[in-house]
Parts: sequence; structure tokens; C-alpha cells
Amino acid sequence: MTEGSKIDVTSEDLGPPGCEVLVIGCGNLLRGDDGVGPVLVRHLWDRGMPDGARLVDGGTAGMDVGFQMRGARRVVIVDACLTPGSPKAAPGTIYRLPGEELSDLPPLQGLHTHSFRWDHAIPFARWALGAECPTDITVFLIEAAAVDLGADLSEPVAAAMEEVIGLIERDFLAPLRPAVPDSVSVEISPEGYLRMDADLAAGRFPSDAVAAVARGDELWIFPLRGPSSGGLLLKQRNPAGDRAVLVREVLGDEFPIGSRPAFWDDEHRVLRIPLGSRADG
Amino acid sequence: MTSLDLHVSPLGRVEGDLDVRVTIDDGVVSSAWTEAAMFRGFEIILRGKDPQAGLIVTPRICGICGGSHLYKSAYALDTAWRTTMPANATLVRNIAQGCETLQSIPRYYYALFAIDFTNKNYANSPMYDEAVRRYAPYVGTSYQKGVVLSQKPVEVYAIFGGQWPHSSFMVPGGVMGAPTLSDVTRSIAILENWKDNWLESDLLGGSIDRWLENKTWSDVLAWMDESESHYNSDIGFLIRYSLDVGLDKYGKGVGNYISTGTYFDPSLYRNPTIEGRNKALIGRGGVFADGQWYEFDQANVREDVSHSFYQGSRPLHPFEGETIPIDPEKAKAQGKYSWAKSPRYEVGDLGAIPLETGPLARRMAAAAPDAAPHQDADPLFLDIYNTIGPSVMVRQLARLHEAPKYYKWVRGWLDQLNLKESFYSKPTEYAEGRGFGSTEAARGSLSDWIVIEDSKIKNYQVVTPTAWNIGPRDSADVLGPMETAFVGSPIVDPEDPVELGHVARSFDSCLVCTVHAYDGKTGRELSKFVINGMV
Repeated sequence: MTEGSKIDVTSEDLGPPGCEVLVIGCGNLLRGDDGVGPVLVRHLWDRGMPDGARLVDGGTAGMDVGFQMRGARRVVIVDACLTPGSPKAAPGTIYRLPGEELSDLPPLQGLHTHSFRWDHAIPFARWALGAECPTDITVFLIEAAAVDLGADLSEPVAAAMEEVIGLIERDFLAPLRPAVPDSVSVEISPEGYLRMDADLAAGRFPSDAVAAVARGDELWIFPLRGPSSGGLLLKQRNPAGDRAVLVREVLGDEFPIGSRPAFWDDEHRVLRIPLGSRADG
Repeated sequence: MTSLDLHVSPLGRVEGDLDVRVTIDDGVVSSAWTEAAMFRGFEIILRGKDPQAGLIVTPRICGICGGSHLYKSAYALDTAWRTTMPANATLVRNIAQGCETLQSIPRYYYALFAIDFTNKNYANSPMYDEAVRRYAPYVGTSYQKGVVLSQKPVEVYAIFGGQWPHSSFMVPGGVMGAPTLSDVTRSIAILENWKDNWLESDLLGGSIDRWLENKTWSDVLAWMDESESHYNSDIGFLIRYSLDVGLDKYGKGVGNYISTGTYFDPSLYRNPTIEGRNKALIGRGGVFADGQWYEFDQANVREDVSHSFYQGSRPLHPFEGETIPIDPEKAKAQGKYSWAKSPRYEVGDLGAIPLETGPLARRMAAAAPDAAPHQDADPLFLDIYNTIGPSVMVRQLARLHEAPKYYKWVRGWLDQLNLKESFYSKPTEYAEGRGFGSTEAARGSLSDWIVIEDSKIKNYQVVTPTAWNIGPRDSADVLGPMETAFVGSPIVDPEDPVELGHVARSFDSCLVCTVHAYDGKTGRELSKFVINGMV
């Protein structure tokens, strides 16, 4: 195995853009728990990715997983596994393989374009990308319960997927999200739009889907995990990324207009906007 | 964690494994059996689902030709729902299918096929050192460049399709997304760069237009001697080395071919129908059997399960197709030996016969008379077929020949996009209907048949190029195309029968293939090796 550094595939600006964090989900959606990687990628997409993060549904095309790594600073690979041994590992068991462990992967000796996994993709990427192969690579493996054709994720694997999403958010994505102070200000337009700046939206409401509720004299804005179950959409209103959401029907007949202080209530995971006495606008 | 066992079991992700058994008598293969070792239940998954489920499920059948699966499943729905297809949508679908095939040509050729040139059995060839220098896995000069740059065409797919592989961006009535001018110019830049840095520089050693002028085998030989760069190109080396080590001498196969064709003229397939399909094709379909051409008609396709692990008493058309698995252990007692069905095609007086699919089959269809002006008319491989006959070498040459051809087509389609016009027109989702969609994946004809009833899938059948080629014997005990291609192969070294690898690889089946060679007289296993696998 040598590095393919003699081939300059990046001489022009024709390759995929680099990124800070690349999350790749591998596996076959048609085979039950084997699909946990691509399913996880879709959940992450619904939740909203920060700038600098890129998602790849690697499916069963391992060689391309290798190519996708080009230019990424940190790589996270999620895949299902069936670990041999007796007694068998419990379904849903999560293995986290930090990069140092992966330097000992067996060297690449043969290729099969139809049966190519992450443990081939990493040495393949080292070969194909040469110096451009990322060094910071973490692999999460989730022990499968069943890989039957056409099955859904099993319960333990679905639960493990949520846990891995939490780990990826904490260790890889959260550092990319803007830090937002607890006390902020928002603006209410005469038409009943709530406006917030780009950092507040990206930091607290990354999925752009929210629920708005009137609680006493306050307006509460809850982040949702994605728009698939309904909710209100934060719409981008300018190139800076500021957002607006129509909350007129929650505000009632009279509401204050203009800038309002707001604060993040971490216990309830909600942005609270005191409206004061309804007529003071 | 430091003690984690990295031998995570390889999940049989795609179509599974293929066992090839051959018997060798007096140094020649006397018979062969191809045994697909894994049940494919995709049709069963789809039954009862939303009609559009095929757009999601079938691209996941394969990690390498997911775009082709999407393309034909979209057209199956287009014909069932009688959609209207904007010209842009046809063009984008053509571009996407073309780019997936352009990716596959070098990736398959270098990573799977040409590495066998370095087999020690060829050490006596005067060109052996050069073969090793170019094609040794990972370190060969041509291998490195061809494999790494094979990524470029599918970067263009991803620009239009959002991702590659496993995109679902083709939908009944068009494609999702509307490309911008910068998407188009970027795609052109990527492809032209790929042409300059691999296709012309390495594969052809000259211009694509000059190569495409070749109309006969003697033209090809003259082309090789025309310049040092032609002679030394990868295609030039394939021809010279094949003639030296005898790859032009075996692997003939059934000599009868099927192509369902692919790529549509945007003005001629605005309302996709099964009947109107052939006339709208740019890459023509057709059946070539017993020296005659026949128009392809999906109504003549049959699936025989006489030697497959399924229930069924007679060959069925895919609209009536069944997929009822039976216990292989019990089935073996009835002489069944494969999870693959045997696709057959009714050709007039010849009956239902096995046909080879793939690049050579496409080239034979392209040589048929009476091409319309928009259609591929290319006599080269008919001349090669008549002059030197089909072989392992000719199958490879056909595959490589398509790289310059499809490059030109894709490049032309990119110029025809009109970004001011639409890419989608919303179809009526009829509750009942029948559809047929087909394409040419890099490795051959790939088709879907869908029956929609009560707004749900009543029946769905996928016939893959792998099934056409590696399907087992039929009810008349006629061997499948790949089985036939093995027979007659000379085996120089039974302990390392590289010839079997060449034949198996020349079909580029979507399966990890294990070859078992047996002595025909004693039944002793002579050798066993895995091709396509992680060695």
C-alpha cells in the first residue's frame, strides 16, 4: 500500500468542499438494524446541522465513503456491527473506536466494489487521499439485533441510535454551534412575526421548527426536533441568517411591538419572552 | 476498548455471494454451475407498499449502481401513471445515468479486472513487467489514477442528485431540484478535467473523436499502430496483452445478446409509455440471436425457476412474476441450486433462450440496421464479433469503448439544459396501472415491472443484469450465459486457474464470487478462490 499522493485530484477547485465535522452513516436501509447509520444521518439532518458540519449517507458504497472524507478535519463514522463471540454482545451495545485504535487497521489488500465497509474505507482513504486524509476519525458501532430484509430498526438499536446522536451532538456538533447567552432580545413586528437573530436561531433552534405557546404573560418558544410532526417554521429573512416566525395567533388581540427581552429557561428547554401587560406596546 | 475485535462480521449487504462450481477435464472446463447463495427479497418488501416505494428501496439494492435502479424505477412509475416529462428532466436523468456508468468503467476495469493481468501465470509474457507496473493493486500507475479519478463523474451525479450513491431524486414526472448555471458549469469543468486527465491521456492516448472513428477490428489495429501514445494507452495495452496471453480465445458465452437500451431523446419521450419506449431511445435496445436482430419487447421476458430455490411450475412474465422461496435443502433434492432466477427471452422460433447482457450486448444492439438520426449507430462490435468472435477481451473492449461515447453524450446533454424551463410536472397518481421501466446499468440491462392496484403495489419484479448473466439452468437444462462462458476455457494451472477469474470478472456480476474447480473425473477439488472479494 502506498499513498496515492502522486495523483493530484485537487489541483482545481472541483472537489467537494471541506468541512470541520463530517458524519457518515454506513449500512443498508433494507436490512433492519444494518440501516442504523443512514437512519441516524436523517435524524441529524432533521435536527439541523451547524455551519461547518456535513452529513453523508454512505449506504453500501464504501469506496465513496473514503472519497467523501477529503478535506474534513474530523470524521465520525456510524455503522452497525455483528460482533462474533459468545456470549453475544447485547443488541444496542455501542462501541466507540477513537482514531488511535484505527491506525492498526489491517492494510488494504484487495477491493470489492460491491462489499466495502468502513474498516476498508479508512485505509482506502489513506491510500486514495494521501496527505489529505483526515487524521481525526472516530467510529461508533452499534450492535445489531436483526438484519432481516425490510425490517425496521429494533428497539434496542433505536435507543442506542438516540444515545449516539447525543454523543455526536455533545462531542462534535455542539462546539460548532454559536454560543448564545441566556438573556437575549427578540423583536415582535406589527404583523405578529417574532424575529430573532441568526446566532439565537442557530444556537437554540437549529431544526428551524418550533412550537409557540402562550403561558400567562409570556410567550414560550420550544425548539422541535424537526418539522416532521408539525410546528411552526423559522424562516430565514435576510442573508445574515436572521429568522422570523409568525406567532400572531398565539399573541392574542393585543401585543407589544418592537424589541423585547427574552431568556432561555434551561429547565424547560424553552425561550421565554415576557410580554408584560398586553397593552404596553 | 483497546481489545475490541475488529473482525466485525461482514453483513451480507447487497446481493450476497455467488458460488461458481466448474469441472475440469483434460485441462478444459467441461461444465459450470453458478449458485447465488443469498435470497433477495426486495420484491416481497415492496408488495403492499406505496407505489413510490420502489424509488427508495431499489436504489439500496446496490451500492454501485443505485442510480441505475432509481432511473428505471422512476420510468416504471412514469409509464404506469402516464406522466408528462419536461425535456430538462429527461436530460438530467440521462446525465445522471451516464455519469454513474462513466464512474463504473474505470473503477471496475482497474480495481477488479486488470489486476489479474499481474497473475504469476503470465510471468513469461514479454509484457508482464509492464502489466505489473501499471495494474498491480494500489501501486500500479494506471490502477492508482483510474481508481482515484473514477470518483469524478459521480461528483457530477451528486450535483444534480444531491448525493451519490442511493439518491432518490428522480420522481414520477421529472426530477427534484432545479440546477443553477453554476451547477452546470461546475459539472462541465469536472467532466472535462476527467477527460483530459484520464480518458484521453491514459485510456486512449489520444482524442475521443479519433477513437470513435474506428468502425472495424482492422481499424482498431491500425489505430494502435498510428502513434506511440495509442499503442501505449491502457486500451492499447489491453488489446496487445490479451492477444499475447490468449484472452481473445475463450469466455465466448452464449453469443446471443439482450439490451433494453437507455437514455431518451427529450422530445420523443415527453409522455413515457411502454410502447413508445424503443423509438425514443438514444442507446438502442435489441436482441441479437442466431445472427438476427429482434426488436426488444418486454412482453417476451420470462423468469424460469426450474433450478432456483422458488416455487413455480412454468416460466412467468414479470407482471405475473412470483417470488415464493422454498427451503434450499429440500429444493436441492429437486435439482435446484441457486437463489437467482433464470431470465429468458422468447425469440420467435428459438423459444425462450438465455441471453447475455452488458456492454457487448449494447454494442451489438447499436450495430442493428435502421437507426433513427437520434440513435446510436455503431458498427464496430458487429465487425469484431464477425471477425474474431466474442471473448473475455472483447467484453472488456466493449466496456472501455463506452467511456468516450458516453462522455460525449453526457457533455452534449449538459449543453442542452434550459435553466429557464421546468424540471418536473406533477403527475396524476392513478390508483391502478402497470408500468415497465428499464435502463442499462454499466453491467447490463436492469428492469422493473410494477403492478399498482388500489394505490398500492400489487406486484413488483426487478430483473438485474446479474440475474440475466449468472442465472442457473432453465427447465430445458440449458446453461445460463456465464455458465456457458466458462465451458471450454483452457485451464493452464488447475491450482491457480486465473482463466476462471477472467471469465467471471468479465461479466462484472454484483456478487462476491467464489470459484470452486473440480476434477471432472475424480470430483477432487482442485482449487478454490475468491474473486471480487477482500483477498
